[in-house]
Amino acid sequence: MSELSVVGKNVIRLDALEKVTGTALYAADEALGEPGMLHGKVLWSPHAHARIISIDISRAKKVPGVEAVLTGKDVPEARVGSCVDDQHMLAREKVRFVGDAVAVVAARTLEAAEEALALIKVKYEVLPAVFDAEEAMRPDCPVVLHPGLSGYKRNMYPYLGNDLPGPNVHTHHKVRRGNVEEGFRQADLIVENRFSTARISHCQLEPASSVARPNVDGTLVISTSTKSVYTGVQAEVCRFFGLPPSKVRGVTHYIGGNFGSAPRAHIFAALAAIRTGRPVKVVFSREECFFRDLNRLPMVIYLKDGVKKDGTLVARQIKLICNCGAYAQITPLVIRNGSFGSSQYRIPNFRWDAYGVYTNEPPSGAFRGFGNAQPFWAMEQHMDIIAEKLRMDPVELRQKNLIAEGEENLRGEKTHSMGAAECLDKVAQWIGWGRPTSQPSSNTVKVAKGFALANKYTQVDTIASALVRFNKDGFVDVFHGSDEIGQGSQTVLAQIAAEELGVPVEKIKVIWGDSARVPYDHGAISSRTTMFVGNAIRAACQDVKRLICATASPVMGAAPEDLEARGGQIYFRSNPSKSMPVSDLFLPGRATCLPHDAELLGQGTFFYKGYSDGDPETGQGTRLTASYCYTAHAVEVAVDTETGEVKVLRFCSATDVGRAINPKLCEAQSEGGIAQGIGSALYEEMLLDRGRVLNCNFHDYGMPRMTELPGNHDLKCFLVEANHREGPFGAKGMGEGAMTPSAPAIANAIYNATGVRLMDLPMSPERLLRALKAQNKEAGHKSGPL
Amino acid sequence: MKPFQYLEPRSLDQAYGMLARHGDKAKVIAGGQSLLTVLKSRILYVPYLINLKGLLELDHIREDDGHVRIGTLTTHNDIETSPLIRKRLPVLAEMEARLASIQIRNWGTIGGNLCHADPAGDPAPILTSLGARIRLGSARGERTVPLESFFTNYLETVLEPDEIALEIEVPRLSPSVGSAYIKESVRATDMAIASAAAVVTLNGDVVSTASIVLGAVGPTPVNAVKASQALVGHKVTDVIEQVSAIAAAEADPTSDTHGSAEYKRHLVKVLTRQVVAKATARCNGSR
Repeated sequence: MSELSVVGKNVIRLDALEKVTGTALYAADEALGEPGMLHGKVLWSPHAHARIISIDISRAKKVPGVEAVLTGKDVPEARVGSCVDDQHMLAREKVRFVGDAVAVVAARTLEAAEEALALIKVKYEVLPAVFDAEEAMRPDCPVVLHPGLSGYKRNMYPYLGNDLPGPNVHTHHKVRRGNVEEGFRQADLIVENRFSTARISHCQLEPASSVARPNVDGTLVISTSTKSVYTGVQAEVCRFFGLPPSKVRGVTHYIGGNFGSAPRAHIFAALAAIRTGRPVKVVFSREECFFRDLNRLPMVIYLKDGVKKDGTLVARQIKLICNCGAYAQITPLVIRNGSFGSSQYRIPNFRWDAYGVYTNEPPSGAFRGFGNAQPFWAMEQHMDIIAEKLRMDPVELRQKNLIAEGEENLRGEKTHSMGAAECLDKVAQWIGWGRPTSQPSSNTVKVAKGFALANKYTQVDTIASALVRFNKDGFVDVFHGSDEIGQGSQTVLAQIAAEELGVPVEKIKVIWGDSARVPYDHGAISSRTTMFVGNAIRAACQDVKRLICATASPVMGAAPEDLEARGGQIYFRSNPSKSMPVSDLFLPGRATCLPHDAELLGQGTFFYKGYSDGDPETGQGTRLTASYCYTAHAVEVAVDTETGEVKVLRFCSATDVGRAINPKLCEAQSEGGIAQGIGSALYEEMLLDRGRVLNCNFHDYGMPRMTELPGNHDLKCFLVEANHREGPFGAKGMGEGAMTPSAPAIANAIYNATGVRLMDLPMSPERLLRALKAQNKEAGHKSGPL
Repeated sequence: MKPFQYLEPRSLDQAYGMLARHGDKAKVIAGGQSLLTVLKSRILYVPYLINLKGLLELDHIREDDGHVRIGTLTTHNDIETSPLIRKRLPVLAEMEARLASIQIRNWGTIGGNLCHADPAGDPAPILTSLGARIRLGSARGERTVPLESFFTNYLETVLEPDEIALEIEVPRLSPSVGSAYIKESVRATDMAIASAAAVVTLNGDVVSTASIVLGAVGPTPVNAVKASQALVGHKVTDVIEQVSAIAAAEADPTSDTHGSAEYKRHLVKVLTRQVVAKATARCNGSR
């Protein structure tokens, strides 16, 4: 590959100016003061599990300004859902979690909507509820959330499994390779533990917001803060309301963070807009976001590893019980895809059983890492436990078991673009593994280091399309269907187009966020935008270059294949000193028109032809993922053994991004991931009291602030570039991998500091102190009279 | 938030008049850092909000007749950065530096903080142990109350519905007195899970006076009288473990989302030990 001019450069974000000047538009900026617009508010269930006896809306309807009060009777008869059709948009016979939607009010003012909401009288018969997933999973669990489950439509059957062990279990996902029993027989050491992760919230800064507008032509235009105009908005609204795609238009603006949250304010806006024929705006409060965002799926993880004396892993058995909450949402896919992470090590005998269980808690869904961070919490602590028991260096143990380029992983995929070893080396070196800590331990404050290695795949079975228009003034319009959720993808995509066309990045305009105006894309999910949309844009650029050469061919008197379009000029391949500007191809006095063809339009599409779904009984396939991004984290912590407080002193990440299109943006993703990773490790947990979120605000919910993050010379983000042969210029997705190893890295450091191993998240001061006290008691017994 | 009427008095007398007229239908607002949260979460609704921010006579830090006087409208940031406070009562600057974040310190006022009476507030424990008093005024006249008896319950004080807090007076410390304030919070800018303030005087290496006050471990700041008494007449190092245990017993914490009562009681023990050691080390002018 020749020298790159834009790819690999720290181009300033295209949206920087708009964002720092406060002119960037977000969904909540829509329709402010628009005449005729209604405000929608939703009535949420106060009970975790109850039967609805009656709903009296007579008083609510009389509030001046109220245009509609809608209940379960006003929503489509059919249940809807992502993987299992288990839900009505508004509850009909039962509510199943605190926050289940019961009614929607649309009114001319927000105050009237709120007043009406308070006047809706719902009579409930409170039912017994179940909150613990292991209890809910039992075949004889007295509480059954969905007695009709066996009759529900299951949209993703291959992942859901047939042999469900109890009435509240909607998913059983299996992976089988080799024979674990035989593997454990060969093992010299067997390690077995139970771990658990907490329910945490995305806390994206922009609360969910949507405006739905019914057009006179019968089209519903939905502008929303939910990402993915095609899949997240259009397809979902069509499915929920039985509308054809031509009647639903999805629009997004800048999105103020996402991390996998799917609050779906637009469903309620759409419902009210359809029923009233008026534009309706719904904005969730922060409190509402906490129970509607589809939080990170909590898992109980039973992990059993078998290993030879020399550190060779021979068997791994993992059983995961996932507390999905009251509706399945997208959790079956989270549970299935969460299994991909295990393939970073060579494990000949592997058995994975993951169960998705209904409970009366707020439903879960996607969260940065999509089900992979949770098993890593267990697996990467086990690697340290094993290393200690075998008296091996934990870096060496991991290096020894890492899968190699070209090797078949435990799912049957051929490994490619494998930068994990280099990631491990980089963080170990920076943190000074095996060398003294940056400050000494005292009697009460213990300082130590720890690390972990993890990865995040990118989904394979999606499609991206792009359009490119080359204008007479040398500017290029790039149209695509992914979203700017803060990750900087528009800048990265502009760089890819600029590189391919040989024009300065300042001349690229990226247009996205409207299903009526941009080509299809699966959306900003699964760390896929750079690879999928980047490839589609690159193909579209190549297409427009072909068109430029074909158009110039008669003018320049050369065959198209003897011409080359680059940087707004058309060159003779045989004599590059002779060229003609692309602008000369256009009609005089017209911005885009050509004399014969309409415009210089190129199109491109990217998808994988040869992917496989995976066998439902074994999880084996040949191509289950597009790529893997490997991330290693190393951390130095100080543990106050008197208070249990953990301070993160130094933090280092190394991420294999294939190729960094924009290194600064990759580093920014890494830093954000570290912040979120520290939060998930030490502070964050949605505290529930019988299903009700107690800490649903930024005062009580513990997102880390700048004061909890190491900075300056104590924070380092390395980028490793194991080029991916299918990625644009070798790039692959990296956003989600950024937080997957944080929690086990911190746990390993805490263990190295104190000798206490925490198996449950988060590692709060109180939890750690309790473990320290238990350790002291045990030590006291040992050194006692016996 | 429900709609309310917003009033802006131009003088203290006008403010007194508004309060006398609207009684418990009105609340005064200064920096709004506590009240707005309470209003937004609908714990409280008042039809009238009286903004005191324009009453400049309540925004001052000055010194006279052996007292440092802090107007109730003084912001936390102004106290933290005041040269007079740093010279006379550096412990207050130290406390303010740990109070929430810079944005909140720029808006929030000392008077608002004390009148909101959240037991997890930072200023109350150290001001109480310093023997501070608070001057209150109304159309009926003025009175001065020791801070120790100002707080009556969780979010409750002796303030009458028609009264406004005007000034906090803190006795100037003699150089032989040592003082310190320590808080424990999960994140640096959070409110305290538990906190402890100590003011100690030494005679040789024996404690002659002591005042330990605990924060966030009871419905009001907890004046740890027994722990303080146990310290007097002894060398700190001889009795500190015992004093800390007594303080922990005097605490009256409840479990909440930030920690269990048991954990908070444990923290009181640790913090008391640390804060007394720190205050003692500062006696006789050494900081």
